Amino acid sequence: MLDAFLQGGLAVFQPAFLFMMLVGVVLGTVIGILPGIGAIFALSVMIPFVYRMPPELGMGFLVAMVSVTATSGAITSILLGIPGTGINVATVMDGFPMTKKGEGSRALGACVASSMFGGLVGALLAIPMIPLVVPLVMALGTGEMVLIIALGLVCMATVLEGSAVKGLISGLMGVILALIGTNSLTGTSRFTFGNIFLYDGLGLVPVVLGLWGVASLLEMMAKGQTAISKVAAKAEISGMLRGIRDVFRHKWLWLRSTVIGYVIGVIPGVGGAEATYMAYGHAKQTSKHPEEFGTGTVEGVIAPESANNSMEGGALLTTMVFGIPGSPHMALLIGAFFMVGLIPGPPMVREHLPLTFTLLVGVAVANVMAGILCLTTSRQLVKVAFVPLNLLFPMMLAIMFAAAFAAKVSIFNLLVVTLFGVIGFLMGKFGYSRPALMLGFVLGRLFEEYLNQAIEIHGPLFFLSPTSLVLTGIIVLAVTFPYWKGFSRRLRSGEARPT
Amino acid sequence: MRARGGVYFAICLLLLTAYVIATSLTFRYPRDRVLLVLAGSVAFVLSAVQLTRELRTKHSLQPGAEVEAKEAVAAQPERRRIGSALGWTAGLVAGVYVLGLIVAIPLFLFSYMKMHGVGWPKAMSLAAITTIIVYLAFKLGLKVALYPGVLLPPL
Repeated sequence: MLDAFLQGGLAVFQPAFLFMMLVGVVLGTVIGILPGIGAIFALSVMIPFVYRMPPELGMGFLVAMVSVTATSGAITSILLGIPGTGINVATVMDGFPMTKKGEGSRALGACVASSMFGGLVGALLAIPMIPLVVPLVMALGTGEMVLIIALGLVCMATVLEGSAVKGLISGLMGVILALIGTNSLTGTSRFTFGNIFLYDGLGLVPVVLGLWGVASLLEMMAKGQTAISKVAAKAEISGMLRGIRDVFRHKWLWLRSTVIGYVIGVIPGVGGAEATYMAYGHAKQTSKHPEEFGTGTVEGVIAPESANNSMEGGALLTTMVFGIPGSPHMALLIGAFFMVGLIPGPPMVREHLPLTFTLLVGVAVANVMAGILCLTTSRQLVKVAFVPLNLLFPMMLAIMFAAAFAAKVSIFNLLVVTLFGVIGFLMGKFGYSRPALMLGFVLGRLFEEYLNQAIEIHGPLFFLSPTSLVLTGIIVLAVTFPYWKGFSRRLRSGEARPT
Repeated sequence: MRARGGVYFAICLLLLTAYVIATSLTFRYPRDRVLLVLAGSVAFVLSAVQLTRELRTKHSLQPGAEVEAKEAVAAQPERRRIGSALGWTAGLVAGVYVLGLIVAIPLFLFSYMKMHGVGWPKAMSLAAITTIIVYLAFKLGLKVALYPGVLLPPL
């Protein structure tokens, strides 16, 4: 284990790996600045580029990119009042009022420092967890793996905001879509309609590009945005240094928020937004002056920003070790793992343990890189948010279409991108879960393989072993969780009502 | 309007899952159909539940004709914008099919930007820059033979 850690940890400092991480950090930082475009969009556009890279370099690049979008996304939250990514929404509540009070630079300094240290500690907390969970992962058999995958789907479908029924439908549709094509074991063509293109199944790249890339662009067009932002803002060095000092002044709040983010990240399917709101709520509850929250207090920036970056370490740990995405964008990252030939879960731990450590250390290093980048260039970075949509739409569309074609060297992929763009747009409009569909799509084939093996080895009652029963219990809890949550909310509101 | 769209979407899902179950049952080997039938059946039941919910929501809201008309008017610009974006997307697909990536991309970029009020020099330079990025990244970087289209010879 120590050998694997040393081998993996040192691999981060190889020049090629550091270079790819730096490219990922720069891209992630720029993409994070663009409001409404976060880690998921960044992944969907960049996954095709890692297709032919060595697995460690490709995954290092992607992991570095997604780890830092939250850091730069906070810049527009603070200076413009527009969250760069979904997980920066909580930062707006106090960050933007600080800017309006003339303390924007201070908020920015506090945000970048808490993000950087939060991300660093989150990743470092994940590393010692690996020796503890590896024996557990190695003990899992095919029956348990079927239930682990089902658990991942259920968590992704039900724990996120929105309807649990819609989430489950989305996840199951993803599984069905994954099974289109020829079954390699039996040779049966399923739902191919005689089309040669469909014999290999739908590719990950065009589905991802359509479901997120094109759908996000369509959503922006539907809102009628002419430019991403028009508000002017600035960042000054002295104020930023004051903000950094604020993080040290509120070090215990920072630490508690970092731990909240990490724990939320470890829980499958729960995204960063929950972590930031929980940390913000905790900061307000434990503050000596809770009435100042929402009017521009620096604790309201430190808490969510440390939580959203520390979440990445926890989420990546769950994703790599169990094969269950720790957050929605990790569902896409699982797809990327498969694409470069790595199988998250027991096979990853068994065959690529050093790489598991490399990626976790990589998250820590990427956060430091992003912190330095944001502190030194935030004045220039904020200008990216002014890119007009009439330039962004055609340029992104053209690049995505080229990427879709390159993934399979097939013109048919362009139709798949367009079709899934429309499907993704409609899913967003009617409240269906795109992350759940993606996860079902990514894990569908593996799910089928494990299920068939489990039935052959243990029979149709494979889920009656002690471990499987525990997992089944957790699945039942996860399915009923939204209803319990709604029931307890109704109960509380009933109690609060005057009699 | 939102409720009606949701109803149509749920109906589509219901039909799709019914089709998946019916077709899967015709597969010869159990290995081919176990998960499809399982996932399809659960999705079918859940789609039926969702459809019932959508219909109930619509029924309980009972929007008057006036409210519905206002909603329809408000949705018109959004539909027009989406229609336009989809039209441009379809145009790009058709353009790539006929002319190939390296010709269709700059043409698409230039015409889109010109139609949306971008000046000649900016539209031309951005179209050229994006095309160069695509060529460098895919043709030279990833060594992908870019699609030449049905009219032109391969690059």
